[in-house]
Amino acid sequence: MNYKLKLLTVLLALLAVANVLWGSLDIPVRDVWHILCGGEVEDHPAWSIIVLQGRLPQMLTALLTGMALGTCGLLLQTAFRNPLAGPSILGIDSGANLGVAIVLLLLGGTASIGSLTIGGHLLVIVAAMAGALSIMSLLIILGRLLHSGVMLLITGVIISYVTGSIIQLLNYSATEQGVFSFVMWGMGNFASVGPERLPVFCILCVLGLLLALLLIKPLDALLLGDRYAENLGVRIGRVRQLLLLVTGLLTATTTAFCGPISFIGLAVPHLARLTLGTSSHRTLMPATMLIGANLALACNLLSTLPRDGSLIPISVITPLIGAPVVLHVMLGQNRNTGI
Amino acid sequence: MIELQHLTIGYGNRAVLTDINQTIPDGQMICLLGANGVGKSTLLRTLSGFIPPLSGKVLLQGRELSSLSLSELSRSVSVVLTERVEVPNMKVVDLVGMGRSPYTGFFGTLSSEDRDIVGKAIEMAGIASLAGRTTDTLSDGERQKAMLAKALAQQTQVILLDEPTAFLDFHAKANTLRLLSQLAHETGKSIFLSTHDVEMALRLSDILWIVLEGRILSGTTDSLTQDGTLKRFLEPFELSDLQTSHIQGS
Amino acid sequence: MRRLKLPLVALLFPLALLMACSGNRSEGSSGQGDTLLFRHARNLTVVTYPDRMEVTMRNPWDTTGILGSYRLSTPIRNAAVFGSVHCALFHELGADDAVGGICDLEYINQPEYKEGVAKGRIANLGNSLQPNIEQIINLNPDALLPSPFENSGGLGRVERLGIPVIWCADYMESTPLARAEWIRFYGRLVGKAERADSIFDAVEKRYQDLCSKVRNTKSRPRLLPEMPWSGQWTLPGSGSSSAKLYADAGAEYLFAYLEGSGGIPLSTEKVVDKAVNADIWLIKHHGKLDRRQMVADTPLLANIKAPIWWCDTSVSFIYEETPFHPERLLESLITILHPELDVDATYNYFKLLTVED
Repeated sequence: MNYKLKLLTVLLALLAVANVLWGSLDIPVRDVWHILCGGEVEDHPAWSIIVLQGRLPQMLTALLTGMALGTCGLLLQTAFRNPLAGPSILGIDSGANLGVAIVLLLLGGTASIGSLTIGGHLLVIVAAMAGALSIMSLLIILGRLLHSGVMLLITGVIISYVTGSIIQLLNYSATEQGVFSFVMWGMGNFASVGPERLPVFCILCVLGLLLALLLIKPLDALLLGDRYAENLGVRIGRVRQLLLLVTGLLTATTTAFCGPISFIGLAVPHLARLTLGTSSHRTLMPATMLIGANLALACNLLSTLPRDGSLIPISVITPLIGAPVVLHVMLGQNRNTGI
Repeated sequence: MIELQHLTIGYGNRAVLTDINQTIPDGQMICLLGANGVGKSTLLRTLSGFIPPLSGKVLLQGRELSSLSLSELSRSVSVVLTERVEVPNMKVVDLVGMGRSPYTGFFGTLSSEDRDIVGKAIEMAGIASLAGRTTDTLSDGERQKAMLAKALAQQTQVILLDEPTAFLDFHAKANTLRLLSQLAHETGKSIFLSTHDVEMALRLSDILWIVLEGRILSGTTDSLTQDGTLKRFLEPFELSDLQTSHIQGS
Repeated sequence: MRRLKLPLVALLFPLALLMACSGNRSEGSSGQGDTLLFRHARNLTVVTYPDRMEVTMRNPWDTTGILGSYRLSTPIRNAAVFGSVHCALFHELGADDAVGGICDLEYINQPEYKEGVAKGRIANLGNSLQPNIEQIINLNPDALLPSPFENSGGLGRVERLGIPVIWCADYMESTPLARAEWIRFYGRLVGKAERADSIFDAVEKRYQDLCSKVRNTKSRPRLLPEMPWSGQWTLPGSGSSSAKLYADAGAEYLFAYLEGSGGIPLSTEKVVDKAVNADIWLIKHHGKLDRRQMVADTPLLANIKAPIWWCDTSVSFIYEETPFHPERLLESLITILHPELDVDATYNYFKLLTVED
């Protein structure tokens, strides 16, 4: 088992390097290396900014986002015993969508509180975080009251529908500019975290990932069912709350900084299970994190594929990979249940 | 040993059984018999700490159940339920290893000592040949045994089983009850289970608890035959003559 | 006479219906029509008769195809105008009366039209992408004037109402003067041919004067337009009207190598690599522009040192005033690119972005 994790780590290193060496602009590998070692390239002063302030942060963003979303997917799939669960199942990312929609469609991109005015991408991030964390808090409170996983899922579905219709309404009465910005935001983008914002992004992601590691043991117990898990000493209620907190934090952070990224959360845990052939979270969680990072880095690299300088949006690439995986899972289910 | 003192069990303000005063001794297998809906599952849930009693006490080795932390409880009582555990890609040895959770560290990694205990539990449950198989390839009876092995690995003084013979064929039923009886005697644990297999329970159980007319009446097969409890219990099924005579004859 | 009246009415009624629905006169083409000679516009063929015109519009996305072919009785008196640009145009032509209904009221800047709607003289037709069908039927317009876009699939239900739909495809012409020349077509629609022709003549003269002034200058400042959105930077292709305008204004458009007549999306990396050499950065932005924020959002932009000349489209009338008056935009650009030329400019759509803004 260990050798598989080692292989995945090596692959991660390779993809990380590849994402810095190659991009939509053709920069010779030797020059990239020169820049990474602290040098400058004559005649192309823009290149060092592109590599150090563009590609490097973008690579780290993709890496952490992949890890974060994959982990969310794993936590939710185990906790709700649903192989089709993903970060969007609880509606937390709908909260982020709604926050951004209010800012871009209703407020026109700037907001003032007292003498403080924020605008631009920072406002989008703040709004997305606020939206996602509000929904997360709501779910945590409801989780305490409801004591039922199914009810929580239903709540998530309702939240998604309600926020969806509010966003439609905002779309209808918004300016062309607003709608355009909102649509562009919705395509997902690893380049939006610059070197200034990278530290905050990293801290939030790493915090969430570390908290997720705390859940490895209770999640294994939860595989047997709530009753057995409780008998083994797992505090179901507290575990559920921590789970909501972690998925909330990770989903909020990735959606706020990068926009909505679909399918990674859903597909990566299944890829991990297929690769490792185990259900034990002790190996499954690190594998999920590694595969998530690898997948996101691969998608980022693929988006720069067109040689004419244009980009393929992330939201186009992730379903192309995610959909076959989901299909495979569903067909596997059919075989097992004979439906 | 478990003592039930003036125990009333139920849900909310609806009591199912009231004022139970009984003892579950060490090293014995006790079978709980009763018609459906009479409160067997409720009693098991109360004894395992899943639901609180409405009034009265449950004492585990002298300590009140409600005062135990969840962690202490997990080392005192283990359960085998009717829930079907379907985990893809989980080997039997790993499933049994889950029983060591209350004792393992942060990520739940098993020490070599833990692994020895798991190995012994698998042997005791008689599934040594199945250790490397995944749980979804097991038959119902084999899965039952795996869950029992897990409970054994959990090293609790008490093992509670909810209808462990329910979905088994005739041979498997007998085997299971014999195994449980043997385990109780050899390990000194209290093994307490509910069942509908009256005849086998009458034969193989050390102690019987019979839920009758809202009360729990306990005793050995002989004592319950003599005081007429068994007769009253089996009467509605018109089996009373058959059963008791059969036993008396053996 | 009386005996004939009933069958006559019976005969004329369906005929009248037909006329009302299709706007055609059922007489055959009689007499010679005037074919309008366009000096710049290429997507339009117009033949005028005393009481009607025949128009053929080429499909700008598939030039072998036809976007529409119409026979209309002119002048139209009750038009449903979908775009604010054309409202402004009709206002300039003095044809306010011809406008019966408008869309996207929030984008209309002319107070006359706002008043007209408030007073009920002009119908509010709602959103141009999803117009209010009932209001349109109620208005019973002579013609609909929407803007076409590729693969828009038509107007749906509205087209089936049988009202002539005149696609305002002027913006798809590939040069600024070609687009402006459509004013001669629109003018003839509302019976203001002379006015339209004279406006265009003035536009053309001024534009060409400006061009020749610029031709004599030596410098060609390097121009960078637009800004990125979510990692993508859409730039006008070499075949677009904007590219022609930049060239006419005496700029060296840094991305003139991009083929196409629309907007071409490029990655920010690719653009920044060339953009470091820009002398002028031209941005149209809705709302206040903050350079620090732009750089905070897209760090690669820090590398572009060119001063920004920008237009706040939330307050400027650039979109209403310039489509049929490209000379205004041209003179505005020339004052930025060639301040040494004295072009007697009255229109300044762009201003320099300073730190205090």
